[in-house]
Amino acid sequence: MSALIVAVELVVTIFRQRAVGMSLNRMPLFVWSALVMAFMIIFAMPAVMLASSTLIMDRMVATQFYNPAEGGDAILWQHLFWFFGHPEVYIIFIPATGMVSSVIATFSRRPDFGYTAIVLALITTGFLGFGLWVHHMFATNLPQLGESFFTVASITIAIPTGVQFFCWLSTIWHGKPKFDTPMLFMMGFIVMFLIGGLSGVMVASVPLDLQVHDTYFVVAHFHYVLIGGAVLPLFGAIYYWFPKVAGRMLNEALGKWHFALWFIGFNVTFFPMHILGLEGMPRRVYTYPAGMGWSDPNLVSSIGVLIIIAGAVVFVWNVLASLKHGEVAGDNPWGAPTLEWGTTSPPPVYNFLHLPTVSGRYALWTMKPDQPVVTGLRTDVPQVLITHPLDGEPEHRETLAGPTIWPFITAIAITIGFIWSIFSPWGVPYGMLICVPPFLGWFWPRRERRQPELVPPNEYAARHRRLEPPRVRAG
Amino acid sequence: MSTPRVIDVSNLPEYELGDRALVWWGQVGMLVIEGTMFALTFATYFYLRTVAVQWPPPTVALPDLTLPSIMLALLLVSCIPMYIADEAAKKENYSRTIIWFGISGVLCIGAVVLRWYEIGALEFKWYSHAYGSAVWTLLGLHTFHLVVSTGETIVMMLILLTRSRPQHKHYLVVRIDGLYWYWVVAWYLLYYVIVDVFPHVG
Repeated sequence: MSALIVAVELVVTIFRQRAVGMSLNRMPLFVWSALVMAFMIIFAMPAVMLASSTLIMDRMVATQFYNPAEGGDAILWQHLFWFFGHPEVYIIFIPATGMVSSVIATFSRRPDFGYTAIVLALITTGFLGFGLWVHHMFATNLPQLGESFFTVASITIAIPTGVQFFCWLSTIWHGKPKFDTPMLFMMGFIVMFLIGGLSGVMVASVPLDLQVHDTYFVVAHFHYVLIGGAVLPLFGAIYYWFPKVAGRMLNEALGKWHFALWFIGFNVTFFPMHILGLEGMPRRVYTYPAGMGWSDPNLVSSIGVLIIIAGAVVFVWNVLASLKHGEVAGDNPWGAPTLEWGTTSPPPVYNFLHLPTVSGRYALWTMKPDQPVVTGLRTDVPQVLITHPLDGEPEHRETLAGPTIWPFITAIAITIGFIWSIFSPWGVPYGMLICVPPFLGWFWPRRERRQPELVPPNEYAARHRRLEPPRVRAG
Repeated sequence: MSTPRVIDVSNLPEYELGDRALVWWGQVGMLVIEGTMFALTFATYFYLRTVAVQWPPPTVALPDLTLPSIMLALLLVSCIPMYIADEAAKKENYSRTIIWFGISGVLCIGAVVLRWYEIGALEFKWYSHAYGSAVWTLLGLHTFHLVVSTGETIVMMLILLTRSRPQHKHYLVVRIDGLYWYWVVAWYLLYYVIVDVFPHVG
């Protein structure tokens, strides 16, 4: 439920509160990926709400959804779960591709190759992601025609991802790449996700899937997809945006050690699992009989885990040490093109004193010398500018709600209701009832409070910051 | 450095009462989420139907259409005062909003009372069989939204009655409450056709 609410917030913010001049076709690719992800959450997460609600109802109040004796069907559970579960994989992966596009453009020092193709690939992935949940169920005796359809859909989704791959490679090829830590992690992503994607195309085929279903081959596949496809980009993104959040750089040397340990440790851990799976080792077992010939690859895997742990320790140490002693970052240490790098690091609570405007896809790279700023928003109430969903032109102003304790109390009431419902069906009606007073307290209108102007108008000029074009740091 | 060019937005309106407002977008988001819930619950209903030998099960009589038909008529009629209140709120007409919003509120409460009897008239329980589970869940989900939307209408009515000059945002909430109500009515129409009428046809 929380994820669903955040998804709606993201969609509305992205469509209605962009910087002036940022039409849809000028949106940073990371924002596009967040938008596609938010839509996928909105349509996928209700399935898991329904699946778990019906399951708990079966257990608590004796509904018959999954009981074949009374007309229910256990396979229904798999359908509902995987209708959420498969899009969820892309909910994890799509924002990671947005991070990759951001970092690759910055460190190749050129705009992403094929912006439109990447956006279309993201949207296509978002749609196709809903059409292949049954490939998790090939071992459940479904009609063969249906299985063939889902095989085709599962292979098709490799096409948009392939398009993104070639765009990234072209960007690097035609740029002047600099291999700092964030970029190294994205390179790791490209190689590792490629392997995970290719083993995915393999298991999309029904006969092969039946062979390796529930074996370590699948474990290897989804670790290459999720660690290669999401965790490595996330690490890269942390190294990339940490200076903006903390105001200080993470240590480069430690970062490179972290990358090396993870890249090696990850492959040592998970590559042997492909072979174990093909040799028939089942997953979800805590041990296996001696003499199957599985011991050596498993030992290699265990050694790999130790290397991964060492890398994680280096990372945690790097973050803790850099928070205090890291090199001061400045506004834009990487010479990056997007707007967040136009304000101080860390940014003030209001982000920009005056809202910036945008005249191209890469806001700071395409800035004009006299790029205008927006004035005229009230400063006595938290007012925001609403822009047109397509072309990003100013439309109207809206005042956001002020701070209040009621949402917190509501959250506590909802939590009590949900935990109660695990143990007794009465938790549902009573839980709903105890949510009513805090909701009323939240929505009951308060008198409009006017606060004194925070910044007197004559001080605007003195405190006014203009956006500055990026200066790439020496070295 | 010369003074930067500025885009002055101080002449733009400070509120919107329709589909440009942030809250309107948020409400549509909520309706899409809950609509997906409804759609998947209907999908579950149809899925269980495909694995059943007979649907509804032999022990269940065909649905009696009397109460559901009255319910549907009441809900459809309630949309008329809601729409008039909606239009009045758009023009910030206080007396017109309050009268028609009040009338639709009474019809909302009537629908909740009628729902009590509609549920009581079901001849099977949620634990009887998979058909029973699906129908009770669909009707339960709809009842939840029926009650919440009615509650929202009552609370909003109280807020309007306790002040002589409502703020713009209160009119906006009337409009959003209307949107929610049309949505609740639309899903009942679908429920009526699929669960109550279809078994008679085929």
